[in-house]
Amino acid sequence: MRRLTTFWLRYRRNRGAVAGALALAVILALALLGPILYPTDPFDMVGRPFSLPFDRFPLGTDVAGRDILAGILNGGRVSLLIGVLASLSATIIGVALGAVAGYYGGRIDDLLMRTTEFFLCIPSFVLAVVLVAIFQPSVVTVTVAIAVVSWPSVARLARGEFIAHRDREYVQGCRAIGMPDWEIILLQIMPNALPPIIVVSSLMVATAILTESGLSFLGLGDPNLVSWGYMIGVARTVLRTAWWMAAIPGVMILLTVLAINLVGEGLNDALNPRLRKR
Amino acid sequence: MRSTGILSLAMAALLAGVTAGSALAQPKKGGTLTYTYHPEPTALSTIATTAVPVALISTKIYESLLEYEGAGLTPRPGLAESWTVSPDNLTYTFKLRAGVKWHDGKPFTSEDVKFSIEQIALNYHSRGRTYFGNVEAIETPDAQTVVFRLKAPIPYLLRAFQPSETPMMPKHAFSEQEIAEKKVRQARIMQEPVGTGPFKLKEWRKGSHIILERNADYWKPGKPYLDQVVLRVMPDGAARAIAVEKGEVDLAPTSALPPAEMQRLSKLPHLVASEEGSEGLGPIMWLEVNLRDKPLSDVKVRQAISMAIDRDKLVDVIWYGNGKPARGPIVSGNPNHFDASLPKFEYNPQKAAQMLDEAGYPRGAGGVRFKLTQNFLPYGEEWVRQAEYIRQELGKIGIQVETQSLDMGGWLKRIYTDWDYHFTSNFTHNYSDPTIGVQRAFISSNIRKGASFSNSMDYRNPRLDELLLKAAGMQDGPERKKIWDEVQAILRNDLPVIFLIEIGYTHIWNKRVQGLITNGISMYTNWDSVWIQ
Repeated sequence: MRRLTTFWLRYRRNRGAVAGALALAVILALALLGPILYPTDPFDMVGRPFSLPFDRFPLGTDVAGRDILAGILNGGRVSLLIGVLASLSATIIGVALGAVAGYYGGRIDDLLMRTTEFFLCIPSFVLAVVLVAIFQPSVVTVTVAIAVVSWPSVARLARGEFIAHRDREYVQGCRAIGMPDWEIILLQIMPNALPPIIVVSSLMVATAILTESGLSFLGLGDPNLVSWGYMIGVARTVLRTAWWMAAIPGVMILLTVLAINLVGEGLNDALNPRLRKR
Repeated sequence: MRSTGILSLAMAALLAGVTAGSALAQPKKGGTLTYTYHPEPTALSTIATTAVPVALISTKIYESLLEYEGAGLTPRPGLAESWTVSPDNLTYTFKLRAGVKWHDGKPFTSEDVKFSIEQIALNYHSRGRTYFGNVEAIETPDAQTVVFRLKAPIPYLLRAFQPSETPMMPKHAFSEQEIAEKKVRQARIMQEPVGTGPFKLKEWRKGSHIILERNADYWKPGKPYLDQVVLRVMPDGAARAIAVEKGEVDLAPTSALPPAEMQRLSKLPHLVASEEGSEGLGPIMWLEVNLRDKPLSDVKVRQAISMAIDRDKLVDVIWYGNGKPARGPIVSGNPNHFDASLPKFEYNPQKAAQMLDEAGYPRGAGGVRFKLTQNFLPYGEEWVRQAEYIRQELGKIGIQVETQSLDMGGWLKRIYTDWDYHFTSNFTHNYSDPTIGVQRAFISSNIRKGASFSNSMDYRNPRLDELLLKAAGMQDGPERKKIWDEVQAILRNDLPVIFLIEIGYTHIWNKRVQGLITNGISMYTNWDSVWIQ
């Protein structure tokens, strides 16, 4: 309880982070409750295409006469879900590999880090496009593709943390009493190494949402689901006649990514106070 | 008899008036016509591939024996100045024009004709076998005479001599090795063309432009009017539209712009948007249905699906008004074979749901009767929008549809090689005769693994096969028309594919371009009488 309180006190010091957390809460609530409170199917042709916002529909209709508000609410679900799941999987993969590499060092480290570098040197968005194109677009393949291109940075970070910790006295102490390696890694070093990783992976949610939007924009999203990137992709061809159609989901992506970044920064301040004295 | 005589006189007078009106503006020599189309052609001959971008440009360079007039493609003299057909329709004799030269200065002779058909069209053109499969021999008694001897009548033979379908190729430009080793598609002439047409290649800068220049030795005196025809390569749809709007580009043929932009540009005063001039292609779109498994093998189910789709809405919303609801396998713009008495397909979702109830597919949990997977032709986003619309509409009558997106290679494999699909959007060209464009999709002998745009549905109807084969060997006339009427009635009822819309090819051009629309394949003709004001 006390730790939570100090965490909150530190977090609160960053005003932007508080605003970000609020915005994120609103966006989450919209995505979770929106489709229930506003149950229009986002793929239904409900009216005349190209109708203006605030006319017959709150945010107007898109090129195929579909309700844009319904798309925003349902799309938020998909974008956030993919963003969170992808960065969670990337974190787990990255931490696992980074921990093993950092803790054991030597050949295992070489092998894992060369592999990581292999992924790092390919532009991640291009790799994601290739993966999704090969395995056919669906929620699962898009999530996996984003996770696959995102884990290397986490792995590098986790490795650094584990190298820094593995020769500390408390770790040597654990070894001395005969604690098995997995216990040292999971129960001893991990809690100490986790704060910077949490910060990085929270920021990764934002990147994942952007990547998903980019894929959907290119037509590589799940064809059965609406996402914000998909909505921008649909509106792209009519940008000159109906700019708002792309602007509305665009603003939503902007707000979400901004909110997540602010929260990430706040987490950084709260979890690593000594790194960020301001 | 008398009254029809008067009528035709009146018609003739009217037509004369029309031509006189357009002839008032005197054609002007000189100038450049710039057009844009995406993607860039991969070669400059339809022998390499018949894809639209290739056909657009190569038809200015290569010619065939005949030229065509009007939407119905009435044959007119071209490289052949006259022709005769024997009474049994088994011998066609073409008299070639004297003094025609290839772009490299060598004379065009009957040997080139024989070569172009026997060695090139039959082996390499994707429809060569349909056109010339029944040719027994081609004889060349002298340099200006070609005689076709047929095994069986080919009713559409006189429509086969279009520049995109049967281009005349210079025999001397191919090495014996290229012919013997079947390397014609890799031959240099595919990139550096030598034709007889009004324009010849001046420059091709890949990724940027192709310039064709006037052929000064063209056999038609005084033609062509234009000095140059230029293709500008612009991959981005919005950029193409702006270029046309600003007058940098004179012409965007065969729906070369995104539909939303076409709609916007069609309202501008200095541009013309027209669907005329593609009647000879007849693009028709449908949902290709795999009939191998239940429930789609059940005709009631297919009729219900057909009834659940609002074709007017598809045309208006998804295709921005480009096209018409289809009424059967033959497009309504085909004056010789379309049965004009056919009604529109009915749109009635309530009745569709009821039909599914009656067919034994009651709604289950969540109102779902059964699940299907749909694919769509990966030609651009309108096709995605259409798939989304169809999924919604079928969902309402209790058919849960999942959309699967594939690239072109994956799509071709799944539909035509694996036959592993439920239904997919698709479109084909009718061409000038249904035997060329329609038969291939429905005749049971064309259920061939791996053959694209064949009968992938596994549709087998002995009566239809019989009719199609009968029509293939007949000359056009009331008898043949009757057969096609029955074919249309059978296919409308059986719905081996769900006919959706006749795609409209919209051509957009700047008003200073004159004389563009001349026949049913206007964009695939040689533009020798096009001029710039």
